[in-house]
Amino acid sequence: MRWNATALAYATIGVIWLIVGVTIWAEQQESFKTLLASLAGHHWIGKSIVAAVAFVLLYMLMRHRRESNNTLTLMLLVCASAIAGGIVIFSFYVGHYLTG
Amino acid sequence: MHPLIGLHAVLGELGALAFLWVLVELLNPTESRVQRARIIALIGTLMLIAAWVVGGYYYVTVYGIEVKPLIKAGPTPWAHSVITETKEHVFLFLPFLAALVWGTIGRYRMELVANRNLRIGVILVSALIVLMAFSMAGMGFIISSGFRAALEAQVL
Repeated sequence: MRWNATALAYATIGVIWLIVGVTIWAEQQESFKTLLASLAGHHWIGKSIVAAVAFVLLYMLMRHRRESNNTLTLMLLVCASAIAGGIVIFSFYVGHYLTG
Repeated sequence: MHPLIGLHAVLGELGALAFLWVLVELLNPTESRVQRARIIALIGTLMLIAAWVVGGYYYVTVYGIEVKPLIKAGPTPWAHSVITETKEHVFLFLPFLAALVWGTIGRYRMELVANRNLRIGVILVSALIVLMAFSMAGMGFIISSGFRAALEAQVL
């Protein structure tokens, strides 16, 4: 089986920002955190399951796309998303700690 | 020190080293080096998934009950509130980045030998995985230090 690298890259970018969004939303809305915890007993496992399922779904949705001619740009976008997503999560928790 | 923490760290660092290996293989690729990189990327991906499962099990069954309350009551509560919270969520990026590298090498295989831009893209994501995985180890050190400081504050 050959993967569609373009779909994998888009699914990775989508999942990174989904994790960022779900992480922040769960800290802001206790009811959402409880919903995540109800999926598997703990909100972090809930986030893990949501991320894994979203990755598979996003890939399945995009797997028939034509491969990008500019894979380097796509990979740079993936790297930028991971770095920016990490900075957003870290900054959020710094702010949450300082104001909490 | 809980044995699951050691296992989590070993699996994570082996995953990081696997992607360092992938990166080196792709610096000057040949058919056999790309083939090797594909296998090592799969092993690295499985290592990171295993680190995810083991670390998650420890986090849910031990850390949250025994360690987190002590750190939060100790002299460096930010070790949990900022560092653990960041680590547990940013870590989730790693298995997906790893799967992307493995899948992309598998998709293009020999094209990686001739296509420089494609190769650079895969090398960059591999390098990011290595850096992120080692930063996880650094954050683990800060969390362990926070726990130790909390225990020392209780004893002294």
